[in-house]
Amino acid sequence: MNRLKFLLLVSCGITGLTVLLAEPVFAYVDPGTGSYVLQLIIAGLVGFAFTLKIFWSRLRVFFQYNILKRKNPPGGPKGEDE
Amino acid sequence: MNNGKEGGSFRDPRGFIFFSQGRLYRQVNAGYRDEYDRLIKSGLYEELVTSGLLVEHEEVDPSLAGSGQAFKVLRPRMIPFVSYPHEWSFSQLQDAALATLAIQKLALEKGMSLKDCSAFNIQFEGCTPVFIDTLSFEIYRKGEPWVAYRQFCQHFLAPLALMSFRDVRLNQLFRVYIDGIPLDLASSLLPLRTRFSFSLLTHIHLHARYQRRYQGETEKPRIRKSMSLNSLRGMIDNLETAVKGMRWAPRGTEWAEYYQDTNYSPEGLDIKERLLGEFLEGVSPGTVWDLGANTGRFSRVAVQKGHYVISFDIDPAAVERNYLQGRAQRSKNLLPLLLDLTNPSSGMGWGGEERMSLSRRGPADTALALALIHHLAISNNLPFERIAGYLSGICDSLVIEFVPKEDSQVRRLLVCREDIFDDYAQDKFEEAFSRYFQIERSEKILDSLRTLYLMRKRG
Repeated sequence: MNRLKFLLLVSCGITGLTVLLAEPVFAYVDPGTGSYVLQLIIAGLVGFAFTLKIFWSRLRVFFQYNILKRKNPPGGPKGEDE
Repeated sequence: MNNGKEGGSFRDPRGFIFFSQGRLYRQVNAGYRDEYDRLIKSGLYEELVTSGLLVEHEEVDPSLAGSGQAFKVLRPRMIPFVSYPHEWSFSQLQDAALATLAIQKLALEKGMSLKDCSAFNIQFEGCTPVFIDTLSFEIYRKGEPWVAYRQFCQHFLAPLALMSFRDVRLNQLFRVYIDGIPLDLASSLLPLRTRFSFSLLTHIHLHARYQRRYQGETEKPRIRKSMSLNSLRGMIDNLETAVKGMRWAPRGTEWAEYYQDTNYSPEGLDIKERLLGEFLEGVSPGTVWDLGANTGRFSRVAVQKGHYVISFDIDPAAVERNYLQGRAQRSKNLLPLLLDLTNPSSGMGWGGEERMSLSRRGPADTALALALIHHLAISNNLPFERIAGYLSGICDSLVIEFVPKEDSQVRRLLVCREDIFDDYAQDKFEEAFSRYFQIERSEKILDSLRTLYLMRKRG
């Protein structure tokens, strides 16, 4: 999970360098459009990260379960649920 | 209220809250029929109510409707006391945010989505957050981004980040910005290190920038891309991780160590507790406002006597500790809230009626003003007469502790200032309060110099 966080940090850090300073908005018109567009822009990234997270979590549960099943007698601790 | 309509219930054309014969109802207009049917038939309503995330309701006779467009009339379970985000501690706002995201996740599973993410849609029953707006659900449209994303960031993520990374008192910005903290303001106030967190960089800093970039648009931008359900879930998951990752630890503020720093011995505090318990047996169970509750030791005495207690304090650290303790105990009858009694919450929003002032949310059946009078009269220069007048407007019965000038806590308040308080004396206190209240009992608190009074409002 730390690796995933690191990769996310690097990819977003690069994007973030261009936006280090947000400029003030003085006219408070409906800001819904910006929010709408931003979601479409980050959709791929958050979708990919989420898929990876679920995959990683399932993989971990699978290995933990199999390893623990071998190490511990029935009734012992089981892998954490997703 | 407006013709029975609740003052804050006008934004959504698909329904509104109204009062009839002292009961609260929610009208569902015909325009919300499809969404309401989906909410019920998909099992989402039942699942949310069972998990304690949504306030339950019963459908009543539509002839009770407040206007002619009614499709259904609902009678929701009443929340004992309405509170607002600027009155919550850090963990209360955090729990409210997590409850909102949990609702959105369940809604997506059932083919629905939250269209409204206002923090004002969450209320606390004791120490448990619950969503109150049954009409905030819409049918999920494939490929569409989350319509309430902006509101979630302004109402939850930005204030939590400001409280966690800058100053816990910044939740008071809610008193100015009723639709959440503007993201450009949050972005400019947050420290540089928040720009190195993916979630905060995206959902606050970049979000603020995109709001600015598209603020003048008159048409929806033509972007061919859509947002898959997986991406939407990913974004909700990312917001949840961001909210869970934020921390604020109460320590070393004004009152955090107060119980260790009074002129009471441990035995003295026990005696005060017993005396308060006796006094409370003389009033019928109802709502108690504990004004200046600190971490809620005496509020819990009132809870044990069967009252629903709003445990107010001015110190965010005390309220946070009180809430965390109440949450651990799953307290249903104790609600810790932040309040500066010298500047209590006023009416907010359109016509000053969308959100109620503190006094409009009263009166309480009983108010407790323990170890409070010297802070009001000496720290805030309030004459006894003004204090008694105000308290008589917010409660029917009053348990109040008089703290004399010889008390160590009063002496401390006078260390660095001239004593201009010639009228600060017990006989003057009784005289002023007797104009508004009938003094029913007064007892010296053993092991201290203080006196506890039980009073009832005159007339």
